[in-house]
Amino acid sequence: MKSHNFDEPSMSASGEAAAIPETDEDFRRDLLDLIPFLRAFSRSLCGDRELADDLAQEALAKAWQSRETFRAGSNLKAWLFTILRNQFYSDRRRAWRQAPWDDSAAERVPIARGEQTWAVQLSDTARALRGLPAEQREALILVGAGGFSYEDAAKISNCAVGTVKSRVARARKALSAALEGNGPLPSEPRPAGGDATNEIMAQLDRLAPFDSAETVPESADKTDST
Amino acid sequence: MIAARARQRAIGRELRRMYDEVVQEPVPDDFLDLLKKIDETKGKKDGTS
Repeated sequence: MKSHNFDEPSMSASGEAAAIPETDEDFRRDLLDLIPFLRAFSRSLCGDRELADDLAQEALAKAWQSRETFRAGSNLKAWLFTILRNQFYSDRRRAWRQAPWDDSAAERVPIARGEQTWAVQLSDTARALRGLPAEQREALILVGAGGFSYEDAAKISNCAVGTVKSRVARARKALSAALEGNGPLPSEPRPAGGDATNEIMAQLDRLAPFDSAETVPESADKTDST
Repeated sequence: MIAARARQRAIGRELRRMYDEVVQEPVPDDFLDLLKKIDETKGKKDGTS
């Protein structure tokens, strides 16, 4: 698998697909490229690996089936995340166990052998994250880990930009407080190329906001095609 | 103050690490088969290209 970066251009090779209608094949490829990110976002919402993958598959299926409603050139990743997020909140009680379109539930990937999952690994941060209200967790992940601008995150979460900002701020504060109570943070994770916060900030600076105030991410922004 | 900033940085780093860890995981096969399966199931109702 190629190494994915959240700002990797994944919508089109040119990154300027605004006016070019995508074929189903292009769209399929773009969707497939985004699966790792979709899974990561889903994992952050659900925590549990298996549930998260169920949810991500549902979102992927829905995206594929609704591909005609996607406007080529707009932010596919944000669109996809929006679908997943809506699914998460609307289907929460269902727990994404037996997806109706999926007859292979039994053959599902076994829980990571040796591979870390959030549930197992659960660093202090991860544990503190679980304690947050879902809306705060989601906002923090989108902005702090997913590299979305506040504007994009607001679209995905279907709320005002100010709401996202305040959710992120509250989430950071809550995490910080939780970790303070829990003693020192777990280890230095692999440096992975420098200070992640600075990276995030750099990302945020680079990210172009949506240029309209619609709630559906369909403006022709270039957020994902840096 | 400084400790708080350091903590926020550490949190940011950890969030990224967790997220990236999932991003780096190999995509399970059933994800890759999914779209094909849907198309078969739906009998190409959505048209072809």
